[in-house]
Amino acid sequence: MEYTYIKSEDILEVSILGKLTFRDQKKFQQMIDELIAAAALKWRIDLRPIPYIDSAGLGLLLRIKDNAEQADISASLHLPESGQVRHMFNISHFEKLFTVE
Amino acid sequence: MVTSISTDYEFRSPADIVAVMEILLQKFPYLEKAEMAISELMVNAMEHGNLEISYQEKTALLKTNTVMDEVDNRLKDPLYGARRALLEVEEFTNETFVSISDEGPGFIWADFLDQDLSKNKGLHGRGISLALSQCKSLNYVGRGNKVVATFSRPDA
Repeated sequence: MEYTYIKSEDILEVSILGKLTFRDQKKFQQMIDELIAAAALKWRIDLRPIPYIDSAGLGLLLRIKDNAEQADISASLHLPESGQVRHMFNISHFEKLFTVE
Repeated sequence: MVTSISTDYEFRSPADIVAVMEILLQKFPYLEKAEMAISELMVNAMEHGNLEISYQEKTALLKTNTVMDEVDNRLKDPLYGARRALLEVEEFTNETFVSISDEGPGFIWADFLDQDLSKNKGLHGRGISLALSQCKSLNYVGRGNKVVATFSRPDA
């Protein structure tokens, strides 16, 4: 995985790119640490550039939710309309766990 | 039903899993939709099978973000690191069997098969159920260190 983010006033626009899998745990936590350090009030996470996610990747997304809540940050996800990532959200009922745009 | 192709791939590490998946999808492009299922079963064979990382241990390792560190440590251990896992593909006219076996003691797979994913809010434990959702059938064999996933052929 790769990631980019840009801060606009109090909102952090984050894009996650590439496959999100069991091998990305350390890099994902590094991203979360950087997002927290950016001191925004809201994170908007764009998952549309992700072509593939596994169950460990879903678990990593829960870290966004947990870390945001602990830091009193509002976090939302932007999901692709179709494809493997959307399918994984559907069958795992993950949409219910997040604010989805 | 006549077997047209039977192929074996050995793996033991995360890098092996990525490499085997790439080779597998080159040889069997129609298995792309099965990538998640096969990958989940391979990771399970490595982590919970050969390396004997228990569900509870993984929960603790995830909290400290050290799952991959523990995987690396156990791969260097003479006992766990010497174990190999095997992925076998058998193609038939209408379906493809993908078998994954490891050299671990087996695990209680029934606890994780066909669970209600909407009730799992934890950081892990979804892999087998998600894999099952992509298969025609998923069967554990013997003590639980071999799993056979069946996929329909797209042109069948």
